[in-house]
Amino acid sequence: MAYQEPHYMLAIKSPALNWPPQGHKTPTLQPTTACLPSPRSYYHDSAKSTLDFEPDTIYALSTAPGRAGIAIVRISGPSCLKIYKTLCPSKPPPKPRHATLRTLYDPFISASVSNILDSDALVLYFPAPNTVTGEDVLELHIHGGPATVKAVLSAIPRCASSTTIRYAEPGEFTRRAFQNNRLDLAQVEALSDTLSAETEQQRRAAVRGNSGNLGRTYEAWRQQLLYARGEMEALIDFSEDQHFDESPAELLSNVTAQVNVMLDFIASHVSASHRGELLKRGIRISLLGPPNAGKSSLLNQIVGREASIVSKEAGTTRDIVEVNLDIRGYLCTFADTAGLRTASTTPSAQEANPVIGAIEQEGIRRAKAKASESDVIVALASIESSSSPQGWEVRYDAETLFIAAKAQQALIVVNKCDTVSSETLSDLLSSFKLTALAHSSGNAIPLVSVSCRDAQTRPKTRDPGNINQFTNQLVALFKDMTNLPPDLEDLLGVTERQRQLLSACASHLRDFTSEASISSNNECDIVLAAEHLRYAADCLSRITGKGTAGDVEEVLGVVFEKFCVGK
Amino acid sequence: MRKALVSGRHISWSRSVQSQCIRQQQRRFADIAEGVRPYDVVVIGGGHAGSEACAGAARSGARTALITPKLDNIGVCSCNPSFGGIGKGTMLREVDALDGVAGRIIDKAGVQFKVLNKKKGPAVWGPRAQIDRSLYKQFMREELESYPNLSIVPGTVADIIVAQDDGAPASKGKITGVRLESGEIIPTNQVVITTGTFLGGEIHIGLECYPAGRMGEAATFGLSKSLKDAGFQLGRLKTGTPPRLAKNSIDFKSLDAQHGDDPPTPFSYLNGTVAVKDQLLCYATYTNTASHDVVRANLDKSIHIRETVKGPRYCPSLESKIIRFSDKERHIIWLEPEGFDSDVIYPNGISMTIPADAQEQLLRTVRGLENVTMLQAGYGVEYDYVDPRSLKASLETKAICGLFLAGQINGTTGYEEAAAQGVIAGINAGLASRSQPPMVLSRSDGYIGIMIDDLVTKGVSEPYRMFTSRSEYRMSARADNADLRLTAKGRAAGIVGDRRWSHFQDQVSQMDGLKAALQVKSISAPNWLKDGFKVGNDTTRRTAFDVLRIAGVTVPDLERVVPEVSQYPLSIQTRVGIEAVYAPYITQQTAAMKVFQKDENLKLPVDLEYDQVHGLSMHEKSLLRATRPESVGQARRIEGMTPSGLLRLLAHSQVKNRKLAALSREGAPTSAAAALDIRV
Repeated sequence: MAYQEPHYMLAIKSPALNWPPQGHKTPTLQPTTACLPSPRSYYHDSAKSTLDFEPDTIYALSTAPGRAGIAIVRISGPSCLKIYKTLCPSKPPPKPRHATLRTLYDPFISASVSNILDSDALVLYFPAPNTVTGEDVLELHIHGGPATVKAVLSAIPRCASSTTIRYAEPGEFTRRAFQNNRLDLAQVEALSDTLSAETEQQRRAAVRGNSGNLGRTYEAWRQQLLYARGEMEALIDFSEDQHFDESPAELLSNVTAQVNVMLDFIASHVSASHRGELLKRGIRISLLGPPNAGKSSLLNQIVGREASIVSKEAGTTRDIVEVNLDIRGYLCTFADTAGLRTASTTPSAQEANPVIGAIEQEGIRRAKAKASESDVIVALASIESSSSPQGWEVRYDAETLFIAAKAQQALIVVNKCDTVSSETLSDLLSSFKLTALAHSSGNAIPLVSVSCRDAQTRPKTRDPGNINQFTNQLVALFKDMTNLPPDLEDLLGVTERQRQLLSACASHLRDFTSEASISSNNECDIVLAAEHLRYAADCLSRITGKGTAGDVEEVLGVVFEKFCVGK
Repeated sequence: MRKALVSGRHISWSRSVQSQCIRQQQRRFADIAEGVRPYDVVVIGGGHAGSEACAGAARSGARTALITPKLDNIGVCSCNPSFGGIGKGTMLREVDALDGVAGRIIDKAGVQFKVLNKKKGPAVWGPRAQIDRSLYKQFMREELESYPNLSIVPGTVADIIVAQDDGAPASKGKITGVRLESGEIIPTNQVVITTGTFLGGEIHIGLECYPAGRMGEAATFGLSKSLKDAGFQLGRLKTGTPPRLAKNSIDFKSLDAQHGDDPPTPFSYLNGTVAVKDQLLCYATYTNTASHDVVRANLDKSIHIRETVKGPRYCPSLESKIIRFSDKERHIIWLEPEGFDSDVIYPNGISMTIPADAQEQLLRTVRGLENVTMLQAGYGVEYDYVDPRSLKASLETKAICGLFLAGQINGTTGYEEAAAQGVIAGINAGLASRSQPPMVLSRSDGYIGIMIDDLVTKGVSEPYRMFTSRSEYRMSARADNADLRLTAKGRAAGIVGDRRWSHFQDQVSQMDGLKAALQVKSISAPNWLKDGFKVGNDTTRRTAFDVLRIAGVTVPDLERVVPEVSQYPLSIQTRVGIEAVYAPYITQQTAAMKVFQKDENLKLPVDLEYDQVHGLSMHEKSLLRATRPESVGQARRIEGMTPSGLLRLLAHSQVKNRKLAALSREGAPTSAAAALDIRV
């Protein structure tokens, strides 16, 4: 599953913005020259003077992916030492062909404990030409956990370098070895086995061909792009001496609209597929609910330490208290928010404290904002005495339930279940479930009842206050959110390559739209714009494996289907 | 009449005249009877491919014969009276850059010159010329009749003569000569076949159908059979041509006129101007629903349309336009003059094959043609083509040594496509006769390289025509810079004459001079702004060359800042201006080209036994057998090949080569093993 991280895309884009390289004076005169196309065979604009031609630096996870004890990342190309210097700042260069112990740091996080990618990694440096590929080779032997491998793989292409650093194409290390004549006869003969393993990995990526949802999605985008390109190419090759019903301006705006739709698709795809990202960044959880429902108490129970002020006075937590936790291996960030007292809170709660002050209002506003950027909403309600015939009610905030229903993941927690008998509790809960269902427009949100007081006062029982069950529910949610489809979950390396290609595709599409939007008075740009689309299509065809041998015939197919052209 | 066999043989480009003579003597003793002096190269067919092929072979220094049934038909334009256009025009400039003949003849025979896409930027400018049909034929014949090393032999070739060649295991046979219908045998080791639509040609008008290559000319059948017998895959393609109209029966006053450019841009780099002074006009008119009704009423009376043979999607007959785009209410017709003194008008856009009386009825529904006289009906042609995957990039066949194919026989359409293949096939036949390596153009060299690579790696399923979208190097391979891309390459191969070479060197040195003057002038943003150039107001110093990338700034504008500009002619100023606009993109495309070239340099033998390559899928094996790629680059461009399949292929051929090399080190050294070494 490809996933994408917004700041990462900027990092990839930056070489394009830095173009041309220093020493080559090019003013940024106009958008036309500021947005340059990248050559066909690169993923990204290569920020370099090409007169002294240097190949891209490529890297890949070269051990079998999965939860192995150790993972080896192999890097080949001119930027090996630069990558080393970025990952191991202020350390002397490694002695060639000697294993060196190093801590690897994330180059884009300021110095703190959390910027360590992997402590105690083994680094090996082989200078050209006597290496497996004939180029400089750097090997990083790192700890094999998925999070570590992912973090290292995504840090490498962000290292400062004058040449492009990108994930290797299938078989590219071997091809470079061939090109540099680095394989002896025995190696060439043994290659067959290596290739079998490599092919198996590629096959399992399941996006070659049309198998798998992901593959179908990419192929659909590629087809869509073919249509857009067909119109552009018709404009260039035929609009002059053929009769078109649409004017060139109409065609261009038509194509721009199609490209914008594609950009939206890619963006939503990227945001929907950030599952792997959750593992690295941590899952964000917001505790929401009416005042005094026990949000802070619950948090304290989870944390096992005093993380925020606990008070019985409603509205104490007016600002947001955040705490980072490791819950059974999942990195989480809990946000404890102000109690939500809105017009829709149950009447008895309103009556209890009818006046909402300005400070409290601000706290509520912040709580809502926090909730909107969370991955999980934990909606709290509580059992309180009331004037109802039963003498008890579930006090809740309707807006909280509404927010929970809209969230990607949510859990309803009913606190203070120790205050009533188990019969009353089950009656109250079953009627509340119906209420919740009505408020969440039919979305059944899982519900747990807990007692923070029991958890605190009766710690010896099997599951004090039902907190353990709550944690189980939460972890089940986490698992659901971070699971990759089974055929993809071990292919961290492959997904990194896809992610880079997808990001490059989006960046070429944006280049197109900026080119197309300024071309109304200067038609020269149409050719540049068409080239941007060609580069974008190239990225997609590398992912799907379709059209890599050239898709001109498909584009022309679109032209001749749509336009009646020819003498 | 046969002309002198050897006319002023060029020896200046030959590397070793002596060794050349020895080789030729050996061949003569082996292959042919004593006393007959053979041609080095024989070109069959005198159309656009044949004309360039025989001239190209002759330029390489080979004694060349052009065999054609009718001297009168050398350089005949059997379809529209125009050359060039978008993509095609660039290809003609490339032919000219290789010292070809077509560009210079067009400049002499043109009646109207116009650069298409002028508003879309120089990368896709398409030079086009309407020509005078009879002048073009006349000038081309004169050119070829006086061409050094070239003889024109009237005659019809019945067959090619192929001998088994035991020396080269890669080939099934080699050419030893051609047999004319008269029975006469012309010995030679290199043959270029450029028979156009004549191979198994068949004309269709309405329900009539008879064998012919062109209206009024016989088709060729013997060659088809011998190519089939030699194992080539033949297919059928079709094309069509519109009716011809009498000029004096057309009411032009009611139609929109299209004028040529003023001043006209010549096709040849050698020419500063063209011959025509008063350019002729073209006119536009349209079909209408009444015309479409005539077609619909007669669809059942056209054998051509009902055939399953593939016609081009982009050059469709009027019938297929109306069938496929039934909701379109009109189709454009360009009325093109056929020449200064000609009374014939060519209605471009309405090729059709319905019965002749229906064609006339249809024409009279069109504005301006209400009283038109139809001089000749439109017709369809169906013909044999050879699967071009049987060719190497040099256009020599993989199966028969010394046999080259060029033009429509390879499944292409268009004069320009034909001429471009002709020049390459002719040059390489000539070079082969002199035992020199072939001149192969890669995709990054230009449109000719793109076309040939497409043909030999992908084959064709419909007549192949050039479009700019086919090229991934569109910004670097332009009509303005074909000479910069190809002339030096051609000179190195020995096929660019002294006159062209000195002219080229002069152009290059002028361009370099002007470019240097513009690059030396580097001033700050405020100073540029003061001079009226709208640069961004920042701290960057910009050269005059950089400033040319601002929209609307041209080289002449810079004269007030760089006075040297005025020393250079406008043509040089324009060229340098275009270079400046594309400079950043070219730098990047150059890098892409170098990556691309690495795979092209990994050569594969074309006689690989793909079944012996371990781990290739059945599908990949069948793809490889159909194309037999010459390099990893070619193999990569076959749709369906996987990255690991490519590496297996490479590994297999390397093992084979190294074992051969090891053998040769141990035993007697063989040059064959060295020649097969695929290491770069």
